[in-house]
Amino acid sequence: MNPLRWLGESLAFLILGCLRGAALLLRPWRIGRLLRTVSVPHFGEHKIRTSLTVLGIALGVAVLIAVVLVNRSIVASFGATIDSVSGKANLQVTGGGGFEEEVVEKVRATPGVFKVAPVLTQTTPVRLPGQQGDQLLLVGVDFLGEDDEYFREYQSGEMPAIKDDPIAFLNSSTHLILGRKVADRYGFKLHDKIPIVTPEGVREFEIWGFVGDEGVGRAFGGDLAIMYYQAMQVAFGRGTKVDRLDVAVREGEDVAAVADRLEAALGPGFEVDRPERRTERVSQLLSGLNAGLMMASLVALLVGMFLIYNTISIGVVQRKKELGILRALGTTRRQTLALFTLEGLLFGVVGSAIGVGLGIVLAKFLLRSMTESVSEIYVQIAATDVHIDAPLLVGGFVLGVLGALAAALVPAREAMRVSPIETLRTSGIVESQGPRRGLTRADVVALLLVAATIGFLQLPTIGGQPVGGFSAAMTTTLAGAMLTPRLIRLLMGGLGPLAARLLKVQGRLAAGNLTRDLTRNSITIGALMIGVALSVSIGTFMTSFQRSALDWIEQTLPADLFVTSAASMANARNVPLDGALREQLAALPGVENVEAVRILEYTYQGRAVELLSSQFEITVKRARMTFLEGDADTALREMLQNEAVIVSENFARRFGVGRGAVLTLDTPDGTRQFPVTAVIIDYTSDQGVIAMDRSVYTRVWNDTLVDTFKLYVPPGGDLEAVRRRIADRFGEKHALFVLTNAEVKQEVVAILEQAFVVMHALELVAIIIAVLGVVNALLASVLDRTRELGVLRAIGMLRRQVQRMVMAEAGLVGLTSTLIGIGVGLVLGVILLDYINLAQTGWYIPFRLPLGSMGLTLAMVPIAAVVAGWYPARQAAALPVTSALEYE
Amino acid sequence: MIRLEGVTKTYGEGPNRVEALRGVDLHIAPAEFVSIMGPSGSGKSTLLNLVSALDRPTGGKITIEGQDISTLTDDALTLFRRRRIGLIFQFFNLLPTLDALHNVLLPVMLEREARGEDVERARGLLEQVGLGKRTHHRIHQLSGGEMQRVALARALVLGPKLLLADEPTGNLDSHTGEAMLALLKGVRDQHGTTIVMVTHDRNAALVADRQVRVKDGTIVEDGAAARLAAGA
Repeated sequence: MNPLRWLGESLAFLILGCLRGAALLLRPWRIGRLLRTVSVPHFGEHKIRTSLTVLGIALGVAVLIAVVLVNRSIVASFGATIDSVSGKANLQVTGGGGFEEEVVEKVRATPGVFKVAPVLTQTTPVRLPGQQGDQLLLVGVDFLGEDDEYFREYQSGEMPAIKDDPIAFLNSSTHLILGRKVADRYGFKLHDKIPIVTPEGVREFEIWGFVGDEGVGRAFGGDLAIMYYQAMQVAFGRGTKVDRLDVAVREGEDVAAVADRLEAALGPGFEVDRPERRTERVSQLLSGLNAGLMMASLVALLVGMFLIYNTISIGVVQRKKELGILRALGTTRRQTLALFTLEGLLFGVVGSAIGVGLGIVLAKFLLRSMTESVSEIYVQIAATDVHIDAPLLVGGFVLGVLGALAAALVPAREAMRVSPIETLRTSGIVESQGPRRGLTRADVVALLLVAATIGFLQLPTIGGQPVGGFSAAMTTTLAGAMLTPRLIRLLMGGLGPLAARLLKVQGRLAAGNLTRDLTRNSITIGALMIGVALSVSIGTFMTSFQRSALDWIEQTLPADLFVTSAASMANARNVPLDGALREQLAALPGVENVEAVRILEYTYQGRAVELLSSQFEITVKRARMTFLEGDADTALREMLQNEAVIVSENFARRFGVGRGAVLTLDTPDGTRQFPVTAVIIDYTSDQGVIAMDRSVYTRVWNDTLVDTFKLYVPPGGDLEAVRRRIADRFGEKHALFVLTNAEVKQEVVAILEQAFVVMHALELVAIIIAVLGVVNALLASVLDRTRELGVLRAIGMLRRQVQRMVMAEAGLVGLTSTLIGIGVGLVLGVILLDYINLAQTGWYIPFRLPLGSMGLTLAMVPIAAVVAGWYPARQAAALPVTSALEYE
Repeated sequence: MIRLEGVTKTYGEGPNRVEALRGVDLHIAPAEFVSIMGPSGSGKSTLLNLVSALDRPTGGKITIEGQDISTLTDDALTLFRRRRIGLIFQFFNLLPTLDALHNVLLPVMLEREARGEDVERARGLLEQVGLGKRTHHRIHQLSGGEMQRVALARALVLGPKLLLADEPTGNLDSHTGEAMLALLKGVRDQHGTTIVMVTHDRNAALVADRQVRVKDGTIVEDGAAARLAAGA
C-alpha cells in the first residue's frame, strides 16, 4: 500500500475507533446512538477528509509542543551545565567581565562563607586535522585546593594520583582532564594530545585523565575538559583573572544575608547571585526569539482549528438531510449540538494525542538547528537531548482539544438550528449565494478587530514583552480572516475574467464555484491566507532587518578584511586572540592599518549587553557611523579625553539613556562613571552595546585580548595577496578565519537565515495544514457538486476538462489566499517591526517590501494548492456520469 | 437515426445482479418524437442513458446516425454527446454560477471559445423559448418553467440532430408543462430534430408521435399515440 494511503487509513482507523469507542461508552444515552448511526458512517465514508483533519490538528499541536520543548531543552541544557559546574554553590560572585583572583581571600573572610573556589570557563573548538571539530567547554578550577572538592564531583580515576603528586601536572599550562564522552567519541587515550585553539594559536593539550559522565561531566553535554585554573589563565591569556567564584554558605546561615554581606564587602563592581539566576538570564535572553516562535506555532494551531471548523461544518451541510430526518423523528436541538461538539472533541483528542508524539519527534529535529542559532547569536549551548516535560505535553494536548472544541462549536450551533422541513427539500445542485449588500456580520467583527488592533498597539510592554504587539498581530490576522469573504468577491472581480481568459470554460466555472459557496471557501482561503501572512510577515522582518544590517556593515564596518579565531565572526564561539598579533598583522606587506576590536559580554542592570572596544580614531576616520545623537568628532574627542562611551540605539531605548547621561559600570577596577557622548545605530547585539575606546578598555579592564582584527588595505591593494599572507603566516597556528567585507555580509545573511530556520519550518507547517484544508474542502465541494459534475459530463465536458476545472479552482483558492495573505502579512510585518521588534530589541528597523517572500509565496502557494487539488480533481473526473446525475 | 439491436444492461454481480434491460430492439426514425413510458424500475431511464451515450450497454449494439456508440472510448463518447445530442433533465440542472445566456452557451464553450455567431445563436434560442429579455438573469432569478426553457435552449445550441429529455415536465406545473411540450414539438417541426422523451405523464406522452412502453427491461408496447391512447 502506498505510504500516504496507509497513513490516511491509519488515521481514519484511529478516529473511527475513537468514535466507536465513545458510542459504546455512551450507549445508554441517545448521544451514543447518534454517534453510532450518524457520525461513524459519515466519517467512515469520508476517510481521507477525516484523516486530513486529524493530521491538521496533530501538526498544529506538534509544532506548538516542539517549540516549547526545544526552548525548555535549551534552557535546561544551559541550566544543567551551570548546575554541574557550580555543584553545591549557593552563590556566585561575578563582575565586569572577570576579576583578579585575590578577591577569593576577601570572599573567604566574609562572615557566613563556608567555602569558596575560583572558576574560569572558555568554549573553544577541538582542531583535529581535516575535521570541523566540536566545541569543547574548558573549565578552569582549583581542584588541588580543599574547597573545590566540596563543590564538584569529577568521577575521575586519575585525579587522586594527580592530587597526590601535582607537580608534573602543573608543570605545563597545556595539561587537562578530558570528559569521558568526548574522549570516547574521538578515541583519545591517556597522554594523547588534543589540539585546541587558544589566543596564542592552536596548541596541543595533553590528556592526563578523564572525567566521568556524572557531576561536572554532565556539563555542556559531556563535551568538556577540566584544567587547573592557573594553567588556564596562562593558556588563554587571562592574566591572574578568574570569571567567577563559587561560594558555599555556612550551614544555618541565611543565603540572602550572606549575599548582602558579600556585596558590601566586595563593593561596587561585583555581583553576588544564586547560580540559577544565570539560567534565568539565558531564558530572558531567548525570550524574544521564543515569543516569536510561540506566536508562529499558535498560528499553525489556529490553522488546524480552521480545518476542524471546516470538517465539522462540511459534515453539518452534508448531513443536513439526515439531521432533518432525525429532528423530525424527535432528536432535540441540544442533542444535535452535543453530537457535533462531541465530534469536534474526539477529533481534538485523537489529533492532539498524535500531535504530542509528533511534537517530541519534531523537537528532536528542531533542537539541533535552534541550538546552532542560539550558540551563534547568544550563548554557547550543547543541547543534544529533548527535555521531556510531562505537564507541558498535557498542556499541549489540552490546548489542542480545547481548540478543536472551540472550532467545532460554531458549526455545531449551525447544526442545532437546522429546520426539519427545510432540509427535506433539496435541489441536488448547490445554490449560489448572491452578493450581500451593506455590512455583513463578518465585516462588523472585522472592523471591531481593527479597532482592537489600534487599541493594542497603544499598550505599553508588560514585563519587557510586547503583549500589545502580539495581541495586535493576532487581531489583525483574525480581521483578515473575517474580511476574507469580501476580499474574495473583490479579487474574483479581476481574477475571474483572467481565469476565464486563460483556462477558457474551466477557468470561468472554477471562478464561479469559488464565490458560490463563499462560506466554506472563505474558511479554506482564510486558513491558507494566515499561513501566507505568517510567511510574508517574517519575510518583511527578515528583508528589512537584513537590509538595515547590511547597510550598517557597509557604512560602519568598511574594513577590507576581518580576522577572527576559531569562528568566522566574533560571537559566542570565537576564541579571543592575543593583542600582540596586531603589530604582526600591521607589519604584513599590503596592510595599511589594523584595528583591534574586543567584544565582551557584560551584565548591565541585570541584562546581558555587550561591551565593545575599538580604536575609534580609526573607526571614525574610516566608517560612516549613523549618529542618532551626537557627532563623530565630538564623540572621538570625548572618548579619548573623558573616557566617554557611545551606546547603541537599542541600548539607549532599553535603558532610557542618551547623550549626556552617565553610565555607572562595574569594572575590575571598581565602579566607574562613563559619560554617554553619542547614540549610534549598531546591530552587534539585540540586547544593546556600550562602545568605548580600546585605550580606555585595556587600561580599565586590564585585558589586551582581541576578538576581531579589522584590516585596511590601501586603495588598489591586492586583497587576496594579503589574505594569503595572513593565512600562510598565522592561519594554521591561530585557527584563523579571514573574511572579506563581502563575506562578512554573507555570514550575517547566513546567520539570520539560520536563526529563522525553525520559524520557516513553522511557516511551512502552517501552510501544509492549510493546504490539507484545501484538499479537504475540494473533496467536500466535489461531493456536494456531484450532480452538477454529472450534468457537465453529460452535456459534453471531457474528464480532463473536469480535472482542469477542479484544479483551476484549487489554483484560484491558492492565488486568492496568497494575495490576501500578502496584504495581511505586510500589515503584520509592520506590527512586527515597529512594535514587537522595537520592544524586544530596541532596534528601529525601517520597513522594506519583502519582494522575495512575496514572490515565493505567490509562486509556490498557488502551485501547492493546484497540487493539492489533483486528488479531488481526479475524484471528480472519475465520477460515473449516470450515478452522478442521480446523486442527491 | 437510432437503432438498438438486442441491447442488454446488467448491474452488479452474483446475487446482486440486476438485469435492467433484456435484449431491447428499437428503431427510431429521423425527426420522430418518441416518448418512453413505464413504471419505476422498468428500465426506461437505463434505456434513455444508453441512447444518450451516457452509459454503455452490457450486450447488443446501439447505432446513432450510423455510428456504433457501444465501442467508443470515454472521450469519444463525451464528444459524441456534446456534438450530436441535446439533453434536458427533470431538475433543469443549470449552473447557478452562470447567467441564462452562458448556461445556453456552455456546450459551445466546452467545444471552443464562444464566438460572436455563437452568442447570437444562443440569444436567438432564448428569444425562441420566450426568454429574450432574461439573457443576463442569474438562474436563481428564474422560475421553474423559465429554467427548463433555458435548459432546452442549451440542449439546442450546437444544433444536435437528437434531443433527449428525461421527465422534462416532471418538475413543472401543468400549464408550464404543456408550454414546454409545445416548445419541444415546435423544435421537432422547425428543425427536424429527433426527440426521445422519458415521462411518467400519460398526457405528456401523447404529445409524441409514438409511445414506447417499457416494463421489466423489455419493450411491451410500441405504437402511435392514437393507438396507445385508445388502448388506455
